[in-house]
Amino acid sequence: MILMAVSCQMGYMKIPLQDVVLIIMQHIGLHDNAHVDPASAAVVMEIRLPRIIGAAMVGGALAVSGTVFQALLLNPLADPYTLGISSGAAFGACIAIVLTLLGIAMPQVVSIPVLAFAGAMASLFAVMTLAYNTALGGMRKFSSTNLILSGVIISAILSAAIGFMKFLADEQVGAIIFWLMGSFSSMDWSQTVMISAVSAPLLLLISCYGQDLNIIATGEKNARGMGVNVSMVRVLLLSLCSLWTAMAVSISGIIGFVGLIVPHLLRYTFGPDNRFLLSAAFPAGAMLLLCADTLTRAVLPAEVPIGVLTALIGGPFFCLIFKRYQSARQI
Amino acid sequence: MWQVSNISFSYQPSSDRPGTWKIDDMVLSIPEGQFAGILGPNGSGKTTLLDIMAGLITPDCGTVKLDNRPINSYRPKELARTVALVPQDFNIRFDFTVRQVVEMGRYPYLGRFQDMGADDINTIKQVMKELDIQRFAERPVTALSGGERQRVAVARALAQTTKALILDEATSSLDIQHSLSIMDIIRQKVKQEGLTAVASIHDINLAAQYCDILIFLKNGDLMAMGNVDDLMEESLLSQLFDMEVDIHFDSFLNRKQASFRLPGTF
Repeated sequence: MILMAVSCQMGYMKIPLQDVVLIIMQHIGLHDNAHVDPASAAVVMEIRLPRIIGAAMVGGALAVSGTVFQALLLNPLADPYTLGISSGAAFGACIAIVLTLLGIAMPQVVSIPVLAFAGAMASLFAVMTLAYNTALGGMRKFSSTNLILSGVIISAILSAAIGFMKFLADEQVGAIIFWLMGSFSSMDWSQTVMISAVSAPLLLLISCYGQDLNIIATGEKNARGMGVNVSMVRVLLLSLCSLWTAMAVSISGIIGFVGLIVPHLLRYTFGPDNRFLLSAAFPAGAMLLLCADTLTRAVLPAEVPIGVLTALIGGPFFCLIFKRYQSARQI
Repeated sequence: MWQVSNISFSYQPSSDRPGTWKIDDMVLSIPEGQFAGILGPNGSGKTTLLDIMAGLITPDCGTVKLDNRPINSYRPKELARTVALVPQDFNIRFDFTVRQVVEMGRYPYLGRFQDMGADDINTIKQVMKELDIQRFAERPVTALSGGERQRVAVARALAQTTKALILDEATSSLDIQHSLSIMDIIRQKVKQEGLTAVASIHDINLAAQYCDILIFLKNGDLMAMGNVDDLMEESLLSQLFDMEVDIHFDSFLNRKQASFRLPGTF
Protein backbone atom coordinates (compact mmCIF):
# COMPACT_ATOMS: atom_id res chain seq x y z
CA MET A 1 0.00 0.00 0.00
CA ILE A 2 2.75 2.38 0.96
CA LEU A 3 4.65 1.38 -2.12
CA MET A 4 1.57 2.08 -4.19
CA ALA A 5 1.18 5.55 -2.73
CA VAL A 6 4.84 6.36 -3.23
CA SER A 7 4.62 5.09 -6.79
CA CYS A 8 1.63 7.37 -7.35
CA GLN A 9 3.61 10.50 -6.60
CA MET A 10 6.36 9.67 -9.02
CA GLY A 11 6.18 10.38 -12.71
CA TYR A 12 6.34 13.07 -15.32
CA MET A 13 4.06 15.22 -13.24
CA LYS A 14 5.26 15.36 -9.67
CA ILE A 15 2.45 15.14 -7.18
CA PRO A 16 3.29 15.45 -3.49
CA LEU A 17 2.62 12.39 -1.39
CA GLN A 18 0.09 14.08 0.87
CA ASP A 19 -1.91 15.12 -2.17
CA VAL A 20 -1.95 11.52 -3.38
CA VAL A 21 -3.27 10.36 -0.05
CA LEU A 22 -5.84 13.16 -0.01
CA ILE A 23 -7.03 12.37 -3.52
CA ILE A 24 -7.50 8.69 -2.76
CA MET A 25 -9.22 9.39 0.53
CA GLN A 26 -11.49 11.86 -1.14
CA HIS A 27 -12.49 9.27 -3.70
CA ILE A 28 -13.37 6.61 -1.20
CA GLY A 29 -15.34 9.20 0.75
CA LEU A 30 -13.11 9.42 3.81
CA HIS A 31 -12.16 13.01 3.31
CA ASP A 32 -13.94 16.03 1.98
CA ASN A 33 -11.40 18.17 0.32
CA ALA A 34 -11.45 20.74 -2.38
CA HIS A 35 -7.94 22.19 -2.39
CA VAL A 36 -6.36 19.52 -4.53
CA ASP A 37 -5.53 20.42 -8.08
CA PRO A 38 -8.13 18.65 -10.27
CA ALA A 39 -5.48 17.82 -12.86
CA SER A 40 -3.49 15.96 -10.22
CA ALA A 41 -6.63 14.17 -9.13
CA ALA A 42 -7.31 13.06 -12.69
CA VAL A 43 -3.75 11.85 -13.18
CA VAL A 44 -3.80 9.85 -9.97
CA MET A 45 -7.26 8.38 -10.30
CA GLU A 46 -7.51 7.79 -14.02
CA ILE A 47 -3.96 7.05 -15.06
CA ARG A 48 -1.66 6.11 -12.25
CA LEU A 49 -3.82 4.24 -9.78
CA PRO A 50 -5.37 1.74 -12.21
CA ARG A 51 -1.96 1.11 -13.67
CA ILE A 52 -0.37 0.64 -10.27
CA ILE A 53 -3.04 -1.73 -8.98
CA GLY A 54 -2.98 -3.59 -12.29
CA ALA A 55 0.80 -4.02 -12.20
CA ALA A 56 0.63 -5.30 -8.63
CA MET A 57 -2.12 -7.80 -9.46
CA VAL A 58 -0.31 -9.09 -12.54
CA GLY A 59 2.91 -9.45 -10.55
CA GLY A 60 1.10 -11.37 -7.84
CA ALA A 61 -0.69 -13.58 -10.33
CA LEU A 62 2.51 -14.52 -12.15
CA ALA A 63 4.40 -15.15 -8.91
CA VAL A 64 1.76 -17.46 -7.44
CA SER A 65 1.39 -19.30 -10.75
CA GLY A 66 5.13 -19.79 -10.88
CA THR A 67 5.16 -21.17 -7.34
CA VAL A 68 2.39 -23.62 -8.20
CA PHE A 69 4.00 -24.76 -11.45
CA GLN A 70 7.35 -25.34 -9.77
CA ALA A 71 5.84 -27.50 -7.03
CA LEU A 72 3.38 -29.32 -9.25
CA LEU A 73 5.85 -30.23 -11.97
CA LEU A 74 8.75 -30.81 -9.54
CA ASN A 75 10.62 -28.36 -11.64
CA PRO A 76 12.53 -25.40 -10.26
CA LEU A 77 12.72 -23.83 -13.72
CA ALA A 78 9.01 -23.82 -14.39
CA ASP A 79 7.03 -20.63 -14.65
CA PRO A 80 4.23 -19.47 -16.92
CA TYR A 81 6.79 -17.99 -19.29
CA THR A 82 9.25 -20.88 -19.61
CA LEU A 83 6.41 -23.40 -19.97
CA GLY A 84 5.03 -21.53 -22.96
CA ILE A 85 1.75 -20.71 -21.26
CA SER A 86 2.30 -16.98 -21.57
CA SER A 87 3.01 -17.42 -25.27
CA GLY A 88 -0.16 -19.45 -25.66
CA ALA A 89 -2.17 -16.75 -23.96
CA ALA A 90 -0.47 -14.08 -26.07
CA PHE A 91 -1.29 -16.01 -29.21
CA GLY A 92 -4.93 -16.23 -28.18
CA ALA A 93 -5.01 -12.54 -27.39
CA CYS A 94 -3.40 -11.72 -30.74
CA ILE A 95 -6.13 -13.62 -32.52
CA ALA A 96 -8.62 -11.47 -30.66
CA ILE A 97 -6.84 -8.27 -31.67
CA VAL A 98 -6.50 -9.31 -35.30
CA LEU A 99 -10.13 -10.37 -35.45
CA THR A 100 -11.11 -6.92 -34.26
CA LEU A 101 -8.78 -5.31 -36.81
CA LEU A 102 -10.32 -7.42 -39.53
CA GLY A 103 -13.63 -5.89 -38.63
CA ILE A 104 -15.17 -8.82 -36.81
CA ALA A 105 -16.68 -6.84 -34.01
CA MET A 106 -16.20 -8.22 -30.54
CA PRO A 107 -15.81 -6.32 -27.29
CA GLN A 108 -12.09 -6.68 -26.61
CA VAL A 109 -12.57 -6.65 -22.87
CA VAL A 110 -14.24 -10.03 -23.27
CA SER A 111 -12.63 -11.53 -26.36
CA ILE A 112 -9.00 -10.98 -25.35
CA PRO A 113 -9.18 -12.76 -21.96
CA VAL A 114 -11.33 -15.59 -23.30
CA LEU A 115 -9.11 -16.34 -26.26
CA ALA A 116 -6.01 -15.85 -24.09
CA PHE A 117 -7.28 -18.49 -21.67
CA ALA A 118 -8.05 -20.86 -24.53
CA GLY A 119 -4.55 -20.30 -25.91
CA ALA A 120 -2.96 -20.83 -22.49
CA MET A 121 -4.79 -24.12 -21.90
CA ALA A 122 -4.01 -25.34 -25.41
CA SER A 123 -0.31 -24.64 -25.09
CA LEU A 124 -0.18 -26.14 -21.58
CA PHE A 125 -1.77 -29.29 -22.95
CA ALA A 126 0.63 -29.36 -25.90
CA VAL A 127 3.68 -28.91 -23.67
CA MET A 128 2.57 -31.64 -21.28
CA THR A 129 1.83 -34.06 -24.11
CA LEU A 130 5.23 -33.42 -25.64
CA ALA A 131 7.06 -33.84 -22.35
CA TYR A 132 5.11 -36.85 -21.11
CA ASN A 133 7.25 -39.91 -21.40
CA THR A 134 5.07 -42.92 -22.11
CA ALA A 135 7.91 -45.37 -21.66
CA LEU A 136 7.84 -44.86 -17.92
CA GLY A 137 4.65 -46.81 -17.46
CA GLY A 138 1.66 -46.05 -15.30
CA MET A 139 3.31 -43.18 -13.45
CA ARG A 140 3.44 -39.85 -15.16
CA LYS A 141 6.93 -38.59 -15.09
CA PHE A 142 7.90 -35.28 -16.58
CA SER A 143 11.60 -34.88 -16.76
CA SER A 144 12.60 -31.31 -15.98
CA THR A 145 14.61 -30.76 -19.11
CA ASN A 146 11.94 -32.28 -21.35
CA LEU A 147 9.37 -29.95 -19.90
CA ILE A 148 11.41 -26.82 -20.49
CA LEU A 149 12.43 -28.06 -23.92
CA SER A 150 8.79 -28.62 -24.85
CA GLY A 151 7.97 -25.16 -23.52
CA VAL A 152 10.66 -23.68 -25.76
CA ILE A 153 9.44 -25.61 -28.81
CA ILE A 154 5.83 -24.58 -28.31
CA SER A 155 6.87 -20.98 -27.62
CA ALA A 156 8.90 -20.92 -30.83
CA ILE A 157 5.98 -22.18 -32.88
CA LEU A 158 3.69 -19.67 -31.24
CA SER A 159 6.08 -16.76 -31.81
CA ALA A 160 6.12 -17.65 -35.47
CA ALA A 161 2.35 -17.71 -35.45
CA ILE A 162 2.28 -14.35 -33.69
CA GLY A 163 4.70 -13.06 -36.33
CA PHE A 164 2.26 -14.18 -38.98
CA MET A 165 -0.50 -12.31 -37.16
CA LYS A 166 1.63 -9.16 -37.18
CA PHE A 167 2.01 -9.61 -40.90
CA LEU A 168 -1.77 -9.92 -41.21
CA ALA A 169 -2.31 -6.86 -39.07
CA ASP A 170 -0.22 -4.95 -41.59
CA GLU A 171 -0.33 -1.23 -40.84
CA GLN A 172 -1.89 -1.53 -37.42
CA VAL A 173 0.97 -3.79 -36.30
CA GLY A 174 2.03 -1.25 -33.70
CA ALA A 175 -0.86 -2.11 -31.43
CA ILE A 176 0.18 -5.75 -31.25
CA ILE A 177 3.89 -5.09 -30.90
CA PHE A 178 3.65 -2.72 -28.01
CA TRP A 179 1.14 -4.89 -26.20
CA LEU A 180 3.26 -8.00 -26.78
CA MET A 181 6.37 -6.50 -25.24
CA GLY A 182 4.45 -6.14 -22.04
CA SER A 183 3.18 -2.80 -20.93
CA PHE A 184 0.91 -1.30 -18.36
CA SER A 185 0.74 2.09 -20.05
CA SER A 186 -2.73 1.61 -21.47
CA MET A 187 -4.30 0.24 -18.30
CA ASP A 188 -7.73 1.51 -17.44
CA TRP A 189 -10.13 0.76 -14.63
CA SER A 190 -12.06 -1.95 -16.49
CA GLN A 191 -8.93 -4.08 -16.83
CA THR A 192 -7.86 -3.39 -13.27
CA VAL A 193 -11.24 -4.37 -11.92
CA MET A 194 -11.24 -7.52 -14.03
CA ILE A 195 -7.86 -8.79 -12.85
CA SER A 196 -8.63 -7.89 -9.24
CA ALA A 197 -11.97 -9.68 -9.36
CA VAL A 198 -10.29 -12.78 -10.74
CA SER A 199 -7.31 -12.64 -8.40
CA ALA A 200 -9.08 -12.66 -5.06
CA PRO A 201 -10.99 -15.97 -5.40
CA LEU A 202 -8.13 -17.64 -7.27
CA LEU A 203 -5.63 -16.73 -4.58
CA LEU A 204 -7.93 -18.03 -1.85
CA LEU A 205 -8.66 -21.26 -3.68
CA ILE A 206 -5.04 -21.96 -4.59
CA SER A 207 -3.84 -21.21 -1.04
CA CYS A 208 -5.98 -24.10 0.25
CA TYR A 209 -3.69 -26.53 -1.56
CA GLY A 210 -0.39 -25.66 0.13
CA GLN A 211 0.16 -28.97 1.88
CA ASP A 212 -1.03 -30.94 -1.16
CA LEU A 213 1.56 -29.09 -3.22
CA ASN A 214 4.24 -29.82 -0.63
CA ILE A 215 3.53 -33.52 -0.83
CA ILE A 216 3.28 -33.56 -4.62
CA ALA A 217 6.63 -31.79 -4.67
CA THR A 218 8.16 -34.86 -3.02
CA GLY A 219 7.16 -37.02 -5.97
CA GLU A 220 3.96 -38.42 -7.44
CA LYS A 221 4.33 -41.89 -5.97
CA ASN A 222 4.89 -40.52 -2.48
CA ALA A 223 1.96 -38.20 -2.86
CA ARG A 224 -0.46 -40.87 -3.99
CA GLY A 225 0.74 -43.19 -1.23
CA MET A 226 -0.11 -40.46 1.25
CA GLY A 227 -3.63 -40.04 -0.03
CA VAL A 228 -3.26 -36.95 -2.17
CA ASN A 229 -5.58 -37.04 -5.16
CA VAL A 230 -2.72 -36.08 -7.46
CA SER A 231 -4.52 -36.06 -10.79
CA MET A 232 -7.40 -33.99 -9.43
CA VAL A 233 -5.13 -31.46 -7.72
CA ARG A 234 -2.89 -31.26 -10.78
CA VAL A 235 -5.68 -30.62 -13.26
CA LEU A 236 -7.39 -28.15 -10.95
CA LEU A 237 -4.32 -26.09 -10.11
CA LEU A 238 -2.87 -26.13 -13.62
CA SER A 239 -6.17 -24.86 -15.01
CA LEU A 240 -6.58 -22.19 -12.35
CA CYS A 241 -3.04 -20.95 -12.86
CA SER A 242 -3.42 -20.95 -16.63
CA LEU A 243 -6.58 -18.92 -16.23
CA TRP A 244 -4.80 -16.48 -13.98
CA THR A 245 -1.80 -16.22 -16.30
CA ALA A 246 -4.09 -15.69 -19.25
CA MET A 247 -5.83 -12.84 -17.46
CA ALA A 248 -2.49 -11.28 -16.59
CA VAL A 249 -1.18 -11.65 -20.13
CA SER A 250 -4.35 -10.30 -21.67
CA ILE A 251 -4.00 -6.99 -19.88
CA SER A 252 -0.25 -6.58 -19.87
CA GLY A 253 1.29 -8.70 -22.60
CA ILE A 254 4.08 -11.16 -21.94
CA ILE A 255 6.01 -10.43 -18.79
CA GLY A 256 8.58 -13.12 -18.25
CA PHE A 257 10.48 -14.43 -15.27
CA VAL A 258 8.49 -12.79 -12.47
CA GLY A 259 6.96 -16.21 -11.83
CA LEU A 260 10.44 -17.70 -11.73
CA ILE A 261 12.33 -15.19 -9.64
CA VAL A 262 9.82 -14.59 -6.87
CA PRO A 263 9.29 -18.22 -5.75
CA HIS A 264 13.04 -18.78 -5.84
CA LEU A 265 13.88 -15.77 -3.73
CA LEU A 266 11.16 -16.69 -1.26
CA ARG A 267 12.19 -20.35 -1.11
CA TYR A 268 15.81 -19.36 -0.68
CA THR A 269 14.91 -17.09 2.22
CA PHE A 270 12.06 -18.91 3.93
CA GLY A 271 12.32 -22.57 2.88
CA PRO A 272 10.17 -24.61 0.51
CA ASP A 273 6.91 -24.86 2.49
CA ASN A 274 4.22 -24.01 -0.06
CA ARG A 275 1.68 -23.22 2.64
CA PHE A 276 3.76 -20.15 3.36
CA LEU A 277 5.07 -19.56 -0.15
CA LEU A 278 1.64 -19.33 -1.74
CA SER A 279 0.52 -16.52 0.52
CA ALA A 280 3.87 -14.73 0.39
CA ALA A 281 4.28 -14.99 -3.38
CA PHE A 282 1.35 -12.71 -4.16
CA PRO A 283 2.54 -9.63 -2.24
CA ALA A 284 6.14 -10.29 -3.22
CA GLY A 285 5.32 -10.58 -6.91
CA ALA A 286 3.10 -7.53 -6.66
CA MET A 287 5.86 -5.48 -5.11
CA LEU A 288 8.48 -6.65 -7.60
CA LEU A 289 6.43 -5.83 -10.65
CA LEU A 290 5.21 -2.56 -9.17
CA CYS A 291 8.80 -1.49 -8.54
CA ALA A 292 9.79 -2.53 -12.06
CA ASP A 293 6.85 -0.67 -13.55
CA THR A 294 7.51 2.45 -11.51
CA LEU A 295 11.13 2.26 -12.59
CA THR A 296 10.30 2.24 -16.28
CA ARG A 297 7.50 4.77 -15.90
CA ALA A 298 9.06 7.37 -13.67
CA VAL A 299 12.78 6.83 -13.29
CA LEU A 300 14.06 5.83 -16.70
CA PRO A 301 14.22 8.66 -19.25
CA ALA A 302 12.04 6.83 -21.78
CA GLU A 303 9.42 4.20 -21.05
CA VAL A 304 10.94 0.78 -21.68
CA PRO A 305 8.27 -1.92 -22.09
CA ILE A 306 8.15 -3.74 -18.78
CA GLY A 307 8.33 -7.16 -20.41
CA VAL A 308 11.69 -6.18 -21.89
CA LEU A 309 12.91 -4.94 -18.52
CA THR A 310 11.93 -8.09 -16.61
CA ALA A 311 13.41 -10.32 -19.29
CA LEU A 312 16.66 -8.37 -19.21
CA ILE A 313 16.90 -8.81 -15.44
CA GLY A 314 15.24 -12.22 -15.21
CA GLY A 315 17.08 -13.94 -18.06
CA PRO A 316 20.49 -13.90 -16.37
CA PHE A 317 18.80 -14.97 -13.14
CA PHE A 318 17.33 -17.97 -14.94
CA CYS A 319 20.83 -18.90 -16.18
CA LEU A 320 22.10 -18.70 -12.63
CA ILE A 321 19.43 -21.04 -11.26
CA PHE A 322 19.92 -23.45 -14.14
CA LYS A 323 23.66 -23.54 -13.48
CA ARG A 324 23.17 -24.06 -9.77
CA TYR A 325 20.78 -26.95 -10.17
CA GLN A 326 22.95 -28.48 -12.83
CA SER A 327 25.93 -28.54 -10.53
CA ALA A 328 23.75 -30.04 -7.81
CA ARG A 329 22.78 -32.73 -10.38
CA GLN A 330 19.15 -32.11 -9.78
CA ILE A 331 18.10 -31.70 -13.38
CA MET B 1 -4.81 -58.44 5.08
CA TRP B 2 -4.40 -58.72 1.32
CA GLN B 3 -6.14 -61.08 -1.04
CA VAL B 4 -4.77 -60.80 -4.51
CA SER B 5 -6.67 -62.89 -7.03
CA ASN B 6 -5.73 -63.57 -10.64
CA ILE B 7 -4.15 -60.19 -11.33
CA SER B 8 -2.37 -59.46 -14.56
CA PHE B 9 -0.67 -56.26 -15.50
CA SER B 10 1.37 -55.02 -18.44
CA TYR B 11 2.99 -51.68 -19.10
CA GLN B 12 2.15 -49.91 -22.32
CA PRO B 13 4.15 -51.50 -25.09
CA SER B 14 7.04 -49.30 -26.17
CA SER B 15 10.50 -49.70 -27.62
CA ASP B 16 12.24 -50.71 -24.42
CA ARG B 17 9.33 -52.53 -22.81
CA PRO B 18 7.66 -54.88 -25.25
CA GLY B 19 4.04 -55.53 -24.41
CA THR B 20 4.52 -58.62 -22.32
CA TRP B 21 2.85 -59.30 -19.02
CA LYS B 22 4.75 -57.80 -16.14
CA ILE B 23 2.56 -59.76 -13.74
CA ASP B 24 0.78 -62.80 -15.12
CA ASP B 25 -2.35 -64.21 -13.48
CA MET B 26 -1.03 -64.03 -9.93
CA VAL B 27 -2.86 -65.27 -6.85
CA LEU B 28 -1.60 -64.68 -3.35
CA SER B 29 -2.83 -63.68 0.06
CA ILE B 30 -0.99 -62.17 2.98
CA PRO B 31 -2.42 -62.84 6.45
CA GLU B 32 -2.60 -60.14 9.08
CA GLY B 33 0.22 -59.60 11.52
CA GLN B 34 2.89 -61.13 9.31
CA PHE B 35 6.10 -59.81 7.83
CA ALA B 36 6.31 -60.95 4.21
CA GLY B 37 9.43 -60.64 2.10
CA ILE B 38 9.23 -60.56 -1.69
CA LEU B 39 12.29 -61.89 -3.47
CA GLY B 40 13.24 -62.33 -7.06
CA PRO B 41 15.77 -61.27 -9.68
CA ASN B 42 15.67 -57.74 -11.11
CA GLY B 43 12.72 -57.24 -13.43
CA SER B 44 10.71 -60.08 -11.90
CA GLY B 45 7.79 -57.76 -11.10
CA LYS B 46 8.41 -56.99 -7.42
CA THR B 47 7.86 -53.26 -7.64
CA THR B 48 4.86 -53.70 -9.94
CA LEU B 49 3.25 -56.12 -7.51
CA LEU B 50 3.87 -53.75 -4.60
CA ASP B 51 2.46 -50.80 -6.56
CA ILE B 52 -0.66 -52.83 -7.26
CA MET B 53 -0.95 -53.84 -3.62
CA ALA B 54 -0.58 -50.18 -2.61
CA GLY B 55 -3.39 -49.23 -4.98
CA LEU B 56 -1.08 -47.02 -7.05
CA ILE B 57 -1.69 -48.91 -10.25
CA THR B 58 -4.77 -50.84 -11.25
CA PRO B 59 -4.22 -54.32 -12.64
CA ASP B 60 -5.53 -55.01 -16.15
CA CYS B 61 -7.58 -57.87 -14.76
CA GLY B 62 -8.12 -59.53 -11.42
CA THR B 63 -8.94 -58.01 -8.04
CA VAL B 64 -7.03 -56.88 -4.98
CA LYS B 65 -8.74 -56.88 -1.62
CA LEU B 66 -7.28 -55.01 1.33
CA ASP B 67 -8.82 -55.75 4.71
CA ASN B 68 -11.67 -57.63 2.96
CA ARG B 69 -12.56 -54.68 0.76
CA PRO B 70 -11.71 -54.12 -2.89
CA ILE B 71 -8.78 -51.74 -2.92
CA ASN B 72 -10.39 -49.52 -5.57
CA SER B 73 -13.34 -48.86 -3.26
CA TYR B 74 -11.12 -46.86 -0.88
CA ARG B 75 -11.03 -43.09 -1.08
CA PRO B 76 -7.45 -41.76 -1.43
CA LYS B 77 -7.08 -40.52 2.15
CA GLU B 78 -8.82 -43.60 3.54
CA LEU B 79 -6.40 -45.83 1.67
CA ALA B 80 -3.50 -43.80 3.03
CA ARG B 81 -4.79 -44.42 6.57
CA THR B 82 -4.80 -48.17 5.87
CA VAL B 83 -1.61 -48.76 3.94
CA ALA B 84 1.62 -46.75 3.81
CA LEU B 85 4.35 -47.04 1.24
CA VAL B 86 8.10 -46.56 1.40
CA PRO B 87 9.07 -46.12 -2.25
CA GLN B 88 12.27 -47.27 -3.86
CA ASP B 89 13.50 -43.83 -4.82
CA PHE B 90 12.97 -41.17 -2.23
CA ASN B 91 14.59 -38.30 -4.04
CA ILE B 92 13.22 -34.94 -3.10
CA ARG B 93 14.21 -31.92 -5.14
CA PHE B 94 13.01 -29.24 -2.79
CA ASP B 95 14.85 -28.70 0.46
CA PHE B 96 12.09 -29.49 2.94
CA THR B 97 13.39 -30.18 6.42
CA VAL B 98 13.29 -33.71 7.78
CA ARG B 99 10.56 -32.71 10.19
CA GLN B 100 8.41 -31.22 7.41
CA VAL B 101 8.70 -34.44 5.41
CA VAL B 102 7.74 -36.64 8.36
CA GLU B 103 4.83 -34.31 9.14
CA MET B 104 3.50 -34.92 5.63
CA GLY B 105 2.70 -38.44 6.83
CA ARG B 106 -0.16 -37.00 8.90
CA TYR B 107 -1.83 -35.58 5.79
CA PRO B 108 -4.48 -38.34 5.49
CA TYR B 109 -5.70 -37.55 9.01
CA LEU B 110 -6.09 -33.83 8.55
CA GLY B 111 -8.83 -31.81 6.90
CA ARG B 112 -7.91 -29.10 4.45
CA PHE B 113 -8.10 -26.36 7.05
CA GLN B 114 -7.00 -28.41 10.02
CA ASP B 115 -3.66 -28.06 11.77
CA MET B 116 -1.84 -30.88 13.52
CA GLY B 117 -3.08 -31.62 17.04
CA ALA B 118 -1.19 -32.93 20.07
CA ASP B 119 -1.71 -36.55 18.93
CA ASP B 120 -0.18 -35.84 15.55
CA ILE B 121 2.80 -34.10 17.11
CA ASN B 122 3.33 -37.03 19.50
CA THR B 123 3.24 -39.52 16.64
CA ILE B 124 5.83 -37.49 14.74
CA LYS B 125 8.07 -37.31 17.81
CA GLN B 126 7.72 -41.05 18.40
CA VAL B 127 8.62 -42.19 14.88
CA MET B 128 11.50 -39.74 14.65
CA LYS B 129 12.88 -41.24 17.83
CA GLU B 130 12.35 -44.81 16.65
CA LEU B 131 14.30 -44.17 13.48
CA ASP B 132 16.94 -42.09 15.22
CA ILE B 133 16.49 -39.10 12.94
CA GLN B 134 15.62 -36.42 15.49
CA ARG B 135 19.29 -35.35 15.51
CA PHE B 136 18.92 -33.91 12.04
CA ALA B 137 15.23 -33.03 12.21
CA GLU B 138 15.81 -29.46 11.07
CA ARG B 139 18.21 -30.26 8.25
CA PRO B 140 17.01 -30.19 4.64
CA VAL B 141 16.42 -33.69 3.22
CA THR B 142 18.43 -32.74 0.16
CA ALA B 143 21.54 -32.51 2.36
CA LEU B 144 21.23 -36.02 3.82
CA SER B 145 23.12 -39.14 2.85
CA GLY B 146 21.21 -41.90 1.06
CA GLY B 147 20.89 -43.93 4.21
CA GLU B 148 19.65 -41.04 6.31
CA ARG B 149 17.15 -40.11 3.62
CA GLN B 150 15.81 -43.66 3.51
CA ARG B 151 15.22 -43.60 7.26
CA VAL B 152 13.26 -40.39 6.79
CA ALA B 153 11.16 -42.19 4.17
CA VAL B 154 10.42 -45.01 6.61
CA ALA B 155 9.62 -42.52 9.38
CA ARG B 156 7.21 -40.68 7.11
CA ALA B 157 5.42 -43.93 6.26
CA LEU B 158 5.24 -44.95 9.93
CA ALA B 159 3.82 -41.51 10.74
CA GLN B 160 0.78 -42.59 8.72
CA THR B 161 0.11 -45.12 11.55
CA THR B 162 -1.41 -47.70 9.21
CA LYS B 163 -2.29 -51.38 9.71
CA ALA B 164 -0.31 -52.30 6.62
CA LEU B 165 3.06 -51.19 5.37
CA ILE B 166 4.75 -51.71 2.01
CA LEU B 167 8.50 -51.29 1.67
CA ASP B 168 10.05 -51.30 -1.78
CA GLU B 169 13.77 -51.99 -1.36
CA ALA B 170 13.73 -49.85 1.74
CA THR B 171 17.05 -51.09 3.02
CA SER B 172 19.05 -51.59 -0.17
CA SER B 173 20.95 -48.33 0.08
CA LEU B 174 21.66 -48.61 3.79
CA ASP B 175 24.74 -49.83 5.61
CA ILE B 176 24.42 -53.08 7.54
CA GLN B 177 23.67 -51.49 10.89
CA HIS B 178 20.93 -49.24 9.62
CA SER B 179 19.33 -51.86 7.44
CA LEU B 180 19.18 -54.24 10.41
CA SER B 181 17.76 -51.52 12.61
CA ILE B 182 15.01 -50.70 10.10
CA MET B 183 14.14 -54.39 9.69
CA ASP B 184 14.11 -54.73 13.45
CA ILE B 185 11.73 -51.79 13.93
CA ILE B 186 9.38 -53.24 11.33
CA ARG B 187 9.55 -56.68 12.93
CA GLN B 188 8.79 -55.26 16.37
CA LYS B 189 5.79 -53.39 14.99
CA VAL B 190 4.61 -56.63 13.38
CA LYS B 191 5.03 -58.66 16.58
CA GLN B 192 3.79 -56.08 19.08
CA GLU B 193 1.29 -53.93 17.23
CA GLY B 194 -0.04 -56.45 14.72
CA LEU B 195 1.26 -54.51 11.70
CA THR B 196 1.21 -56.37 8.38
CA ALA B 197 4.34 -55.61 6.39
CA VAL B 198 5.33 -56.54 2.86
CA ALA B 199 8.84 -55.74 1.75
CA SER B 200 10.74 -56.41 -1.42
CA ILE B 201 14.24 -57.34 -0.34
CA HIS B 202 17.36 -58.05 -2.34
CA ASP B 203 19.26 -59.82 0.39
CA ILE B 204 17.80 -63.30 0.89
CA ASN B 205 19.61 -63.75 4.18
CA LEU B 206 18.25 -60.51 5.56
CA ALA B 207 14.77 -61.65 4.52
CA ALA B 208 15.29 -65.06 6.13
CA GLN B 209 16.44 -63.39 9.32
CA TYR B 210 13.41 -61.10 9.77
CA CYS B 211 10.45 -62.27 7.69
CA ASP B 212 7.71 -64.76 8.55
CA ILE B 213 6.66 -65.44 4.98
CA LEU B 214 8.62 -65.41 1.76
CA ILE B 215 7.25 -64.81 -1.72
CA PHE B 216 9.40 -65.75 -4.71
CA LEU B 217 8.73 -63.99 -8.00
CA LYS B 218 10.24 -64.86 -11.34
CA ASN B 219 9.31 -63.35 -14.72
CA GLY B 220 6.03 -62.02 -13.39
CA ASP B 221 4.97 -65.37 -11.99
CA LEU B 222 4.57 -66.42 -8.40
CA MET B 223 7.12 -69.20 -8.12
CA ALA B 224 6.60 -70.10 -4.49
CA MET B 225 5.13 -68.71 -1.32
CA GLY B 226 5.22 -70.01 2.24
CA ASN B 227 6.89 -69.96 5.62
CA VAL B 228 10.52 -68.98 5.76
CA ASP B 229 11.65 -72.43 6.88
CA ASP B 230 9.85 -74.18 4.04
CA LEU B 231 11.10 -71.83 1.37
CA MET B 232 14.75 -71.63 2.42
CA GLU B 233 15.41 -74.68 0.33
CA GLU B 234 18.25 -75.33 -2.09
CA SER B 235 16.36 -76.41 -5.20
CA LEU B 236 13.88 -73.52 -4.97
CA LEU B 237 16.52 -70.85 -4.47
CA SER B 238 18.79 -72.16 -7.21
CA GLN B 239 15.81 -72.14 -9.57
CA LEU B 240 14.87 -68.59 -8.50
CA PHE B 241 18.28 -67.02 -8.96
CA ASP B 242 19.88 -69.48 -11.47
CA MET B 243 22.78 -70.05 -9.15
CA GLU B 244 24.25 -72.81 -7.04
CA VAL B 245 22.98 -72.58 -3.49
CA ASP B 246 23.94 -73.99 -0.15
CA ILE B 247 21.52 -73.68 2.78
CA HIS B 248 22.86 -74.04 6.28
CA PHE B 249 21.43 -73.48 9.72
CA ASP B 250 22.98 -70.45 11.36
CA SER B 251 23.01 -71.06 15.09
CA PHE B 252 24.06 -67.48 15.77
CA LEU B 253 20.86 -66.12 14.20
CA ASN B 254 18.85 -69.26 14.88
CA ARG B 255 17.72 -69.10 11.24
CA LYS B 256 18.50 -70.76 7.93
CA GLN B 257 20.87 -68.77 5.75
CA ALA B 258 21.98 -69.24 2.15
CA SER B 259 25.28 -68.98 0.29
CA PHE B 260 25.42 -68.53 -3.48
CA ARG B 261 27.95 -69.07 -6.23
CA LEU B 262 27.81 -68.88 -9.99
CA PRO B 263 27.79 -72.37 -11.53
CA GLY B 264 31.32 -73.68 -11.92
CA THR B 265 33.11 -71.06 -9.82
CA PHE B 266 34.98 -71.45 -6.53
